[in-house]
Amino acid sequence: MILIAAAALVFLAFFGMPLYAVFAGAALLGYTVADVNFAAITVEIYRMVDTPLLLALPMFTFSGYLLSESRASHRLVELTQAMVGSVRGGLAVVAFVSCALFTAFTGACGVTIVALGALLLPAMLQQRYPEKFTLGLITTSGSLGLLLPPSLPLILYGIISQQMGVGEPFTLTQLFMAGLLPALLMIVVLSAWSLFTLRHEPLPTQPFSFVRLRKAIWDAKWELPMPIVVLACIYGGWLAVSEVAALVAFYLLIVEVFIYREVSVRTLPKVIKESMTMVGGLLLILALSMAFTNTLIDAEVPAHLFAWIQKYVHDRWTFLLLLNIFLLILGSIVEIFPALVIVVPLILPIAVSFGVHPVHLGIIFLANMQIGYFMPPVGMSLFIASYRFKKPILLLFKSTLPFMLVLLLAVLIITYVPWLSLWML
Amino acid sequence: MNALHRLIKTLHWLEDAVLVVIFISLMGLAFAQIGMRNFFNGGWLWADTALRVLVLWIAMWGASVAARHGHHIRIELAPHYLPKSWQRFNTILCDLACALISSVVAYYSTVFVIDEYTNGGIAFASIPVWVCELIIPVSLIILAFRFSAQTLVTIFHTEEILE
Repeated sequence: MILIAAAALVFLAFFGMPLYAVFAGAALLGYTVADVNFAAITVEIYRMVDTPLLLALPMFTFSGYLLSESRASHRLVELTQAMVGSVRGGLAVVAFVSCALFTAFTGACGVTIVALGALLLPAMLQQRYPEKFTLGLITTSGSLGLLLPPSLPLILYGIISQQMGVGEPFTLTQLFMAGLLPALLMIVVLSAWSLFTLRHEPLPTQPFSFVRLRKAIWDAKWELPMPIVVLACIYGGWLAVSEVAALVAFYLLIVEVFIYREVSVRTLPKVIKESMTMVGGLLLILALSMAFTNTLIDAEVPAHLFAWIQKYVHDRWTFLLLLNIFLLILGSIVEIFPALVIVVPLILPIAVSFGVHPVHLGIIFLANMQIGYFMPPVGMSLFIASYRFKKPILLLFKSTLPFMLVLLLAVLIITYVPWLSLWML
Repeated sequence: MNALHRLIKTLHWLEDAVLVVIFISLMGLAFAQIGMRNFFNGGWLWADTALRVLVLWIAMWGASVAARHGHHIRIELAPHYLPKSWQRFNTILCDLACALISSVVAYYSTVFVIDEYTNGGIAFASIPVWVCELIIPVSLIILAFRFSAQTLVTIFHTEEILE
């Protein structure tokens, strides 16, 4: 009976029942097996109140939606272009850097391709960058920056793993630090590869203009200090992450609505509503998935899973390789948020048993998921780019292939050189 | 039909307004608390708990508004491969199951909150715990209602009622 119900839930999940209901159903099944009163599920939802960190989620999400509603993307592209546009092939580097920064703040929900891609694609085509190369570059950049603070998936991983309390405890700040070098590595490899590919292309270069740079800096003067202040506050330990999030949200509200006046007071409720429905959906899933996970832990499922895997996998390196393959496949069929809440609770105890640091696991997880964004069949970036640029998905997929291989290399380095993620621990 | 339409519109407007109000209180209180703590060496004792309760409120209320716009996260791997005629049946099945599960959770959380009302404690300041928890059954009842309505609408082809 229980098995039939469980099978029905899995079936419904794949056929599109909202995920929160899948987890609620799964938790109720777990309670039935363990003979626990169903009222426990309310206690689990109310446990949201025990996590002060959660405040960061609505605040950063709101900031991201606000930024994508404004013309911040224009200023960012203009600024990076003024800085490195004079280098041959510099526009490719501009694209990687500005997309990574933008994604870090908007949380990789596809806005980057819409907001920045729409600026970068025509600019690059006009400078006679090859079309296929450009399409691939922009589709790839849509998820670049996932590892940079304060990206939502990074925060979400921190919350989930902290609630589980498995392995060495760590702070969100340490997780934020951990993402820096791997993200930088990705940008560097991608840029190096792009410049190498473009070496024979007849690309025009613009002379470096100090006046242009000064104007770009001046235009962005209100937003420019923000990443620096965020990093300084968090890494300097002056404010908690959730406080920084609230501060950024409040500051951006003032800047975009009253100083730049690009978001009107009338559209503000729309921005609030869009960002908060997203947060609500996410947090409800998070709470219910934790309820389900706890029933799994009570039933010692992760321990059994570990024992089973240990029969076939004996060392950490083989485990990590298999993990990479598993995560790549996962990333190509499930989007990042569901993947995080479904898989992290199961995989974290196993990875810790194999001696993988929870922070390193988080970075590996997200680095793989980042590639999943442009892997068929469900890679979100492919669909968004296809929709936005009116190009067939297959063409976009083919054009991202070389970038994907370069990123795979970076992911392997990130996986097998834990120092990149753990140097400051 | 027209009066019903207007009633639904007003309710939706109210619902959005509540979401905006919760958000603004959340951001305002968080900002004020940072100021109090860092510049006046104070900070209200109750504010930290209040903030966390407000996060719960915005999450639950946001989740029930999300259902109105079909914004709930789904995996949806299989429906792409279903023939058109099956897709409608699939939607009905998923919405119905979702409504059922939400109703069960709504029922048990209502019972739980009533229980807390009779013998619960104080959350912060003089606000009892059950008031903070109240949002859980309320949102789940709305969710259950929305997905039930959605099921009926798909069955009877009356999409225009829900805008």
